[in-house]
Amino acid sequence: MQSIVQPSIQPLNRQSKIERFIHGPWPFILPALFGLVFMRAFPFVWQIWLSFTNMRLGRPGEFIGLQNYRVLFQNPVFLSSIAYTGVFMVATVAGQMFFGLLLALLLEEDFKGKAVYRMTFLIPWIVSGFVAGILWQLMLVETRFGMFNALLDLMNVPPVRWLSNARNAQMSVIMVYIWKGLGFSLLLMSGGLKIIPQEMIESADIDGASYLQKLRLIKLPMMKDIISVNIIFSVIAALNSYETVFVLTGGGPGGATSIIALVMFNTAFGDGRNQLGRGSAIGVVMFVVTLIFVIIYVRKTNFAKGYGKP
Amino acid sequence: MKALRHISILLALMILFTGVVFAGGGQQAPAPAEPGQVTVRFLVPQWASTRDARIERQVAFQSVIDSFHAANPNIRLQEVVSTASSYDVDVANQINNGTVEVVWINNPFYPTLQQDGKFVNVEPFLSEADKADFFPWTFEALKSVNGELGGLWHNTDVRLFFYRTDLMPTAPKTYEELITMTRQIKNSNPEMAAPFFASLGHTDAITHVWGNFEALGGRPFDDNGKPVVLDGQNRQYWERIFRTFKEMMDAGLIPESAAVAREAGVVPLLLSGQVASFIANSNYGVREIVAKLPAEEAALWQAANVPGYQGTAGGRSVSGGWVFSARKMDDPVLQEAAVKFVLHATSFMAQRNVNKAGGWTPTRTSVFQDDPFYQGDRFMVAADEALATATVRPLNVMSPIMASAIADALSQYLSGSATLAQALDRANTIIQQEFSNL
Repeated sequence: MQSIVQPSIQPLNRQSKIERFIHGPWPFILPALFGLVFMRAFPFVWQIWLSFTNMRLGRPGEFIGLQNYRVLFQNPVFLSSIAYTGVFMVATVAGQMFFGLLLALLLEEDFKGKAVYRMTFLIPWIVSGFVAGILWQLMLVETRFGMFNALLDLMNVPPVRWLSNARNAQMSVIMVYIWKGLGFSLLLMSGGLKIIPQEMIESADIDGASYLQKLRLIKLPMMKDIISVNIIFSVIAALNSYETVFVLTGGGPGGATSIIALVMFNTAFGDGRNQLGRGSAIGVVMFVVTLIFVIIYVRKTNFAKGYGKP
Repeated sequence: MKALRHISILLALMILFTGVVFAGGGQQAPAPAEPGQVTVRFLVPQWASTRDARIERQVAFQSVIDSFHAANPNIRLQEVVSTASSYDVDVANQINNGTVEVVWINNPFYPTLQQDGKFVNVEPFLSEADKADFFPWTFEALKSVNGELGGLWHNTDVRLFFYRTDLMPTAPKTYEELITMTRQIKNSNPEMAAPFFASLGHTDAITHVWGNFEALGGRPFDDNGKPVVLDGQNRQYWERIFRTFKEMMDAGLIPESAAVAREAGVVPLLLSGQVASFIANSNYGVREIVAKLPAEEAALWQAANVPGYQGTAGGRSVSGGWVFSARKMDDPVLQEAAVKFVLHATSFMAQRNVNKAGGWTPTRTSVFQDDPFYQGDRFMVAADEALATATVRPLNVMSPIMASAIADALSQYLSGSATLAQALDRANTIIQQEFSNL
């Protein structure tokens, strides 16, 4: 009987573990994974832990449960900052949307020097928040040194307390943030206008639609998704930025312009207070609010379902 | 593709390495010393080191290191320049991890570490002459935390009243006099935007008037350490201080922007010649007036003690500044070497050279008496006089919280967003709430 010699089964992959690692997906995943773990995940988990402690800079904290959160929601400074942050967020986002759309529509038209105008409107967005704060402080500060009051003076109008009156300071901060975020809004709105098929506009022209009709019935509905994304990005930016208001008013007068991010910074690092546990609790509250908007964004863009899939 | 994979792995390793290094706070291992030598690492911010861009600072700090090496050949100094975005965070990490032996620390942060007994008591190492040379309040303040002298005050500043002598021939002794003088200036110089400027929107404001509060008889804490800064009589003192500023602001004697301004808010008015007087720290004389104004205009400026209130002791000012401290450690040889450096870095020579280069105010009386610059500079002479009677805001973890709450109250009252009673009630609620949660 002839024996049948079975060929020995060779492993399909004879590569060593190192070679498999090098030729697998991990080399491309690891840099991002390490970055994510060191720069995002670890600080985030650490921050949540700190929010349940009374840690101060230089002193190890003890676990105090929800006490930081209880104190926060009884603290008049924090509560008034929530109220102003809400107003600030709605007003800046609405302002940025409105003026962003208006400028995008204007820049859609053909005219000489369009590129220069577009660049000019983008500059505030590129400028650092601290620099923007200093510039506006110099322009708004009362006395003849301030540009705004100097202009009013030329018209024999008495100077306005732009930053030292609570209501005016609140409006001034909102105005500066609208100016600062306008470039980003303009960029997105311009992109949104560009993806509208030209044939639709031409058809509407042939049908005799007015400019406002084209805007209301074609352009705005077709830009719906872009506007939603723009709103969500602007809301997240408004919630997390503090540097301009830090320089412009420092949250004053009397806390009138304290936005949550600034309260967090001051609690954790400002004026030698160093209440890291409390500051972390404010950060967690900010995270929860931001998360709500991120969830809306993810749903809106179908991000979770995956882009590019058939 | 293969090269890309290798680059990617390299990148991952770099991130891992960076993560590990930064997790250690950028700490430095002691450099190898010669046989028989010990290495003392001292932590300083970049702007107070040999690596600062300003040549005069580089030279001054290097002279301190070189002279120490010459006097102590068995000790090697290693300057650790902080690269952290928050210097206080770096100090805390490096002291708690034992990775530096000496730190230069801002005085409001000193109590946090000294409460846990982190620093060596340097008092036994001081000669009687040294003890007599430092301004007495430096020892009182540093010892107030746990009874030990956990460092030596290296440089300071004291609030001064700066005034233009062509508009205000003599400095007012009281706020009542100041109001009368500034009204006259305003009447005869309608173009003058601000006869008087006091930054009132931040804790700077409380630093300005802390001496006034104490001179009026105010006590921030009771005998049990409970904050009573806004209780009973203390509250009435603050009401008096607040009302004075409100009166001046309503009369146009203080610019309204002062309600939100930090100390540096005076600089644009100073440069435009629209301010007749202001309160700021003593270094403004050298760093702002002399350095930035034309010589003939700078010559018009003079400085004096901050005004007081009628019926109370004269205006008293408050100091800030930085302290050299040595970490407590098990190695007696290394600890002794660290203390030696603290003594050297705060010696007459070091204080004279470094403070002059930095534009700061020294804490040794001998520097004012024996150095020609400090003897002759009118602003430093005023600083010396003010420092003799100065007090420091209590070195206590509640102090920054109190200052912040009272500063907010002042700003609310001045800007019209709250009545005086509402503003002070709110501040007291915050202070008591924070105290009960310490």
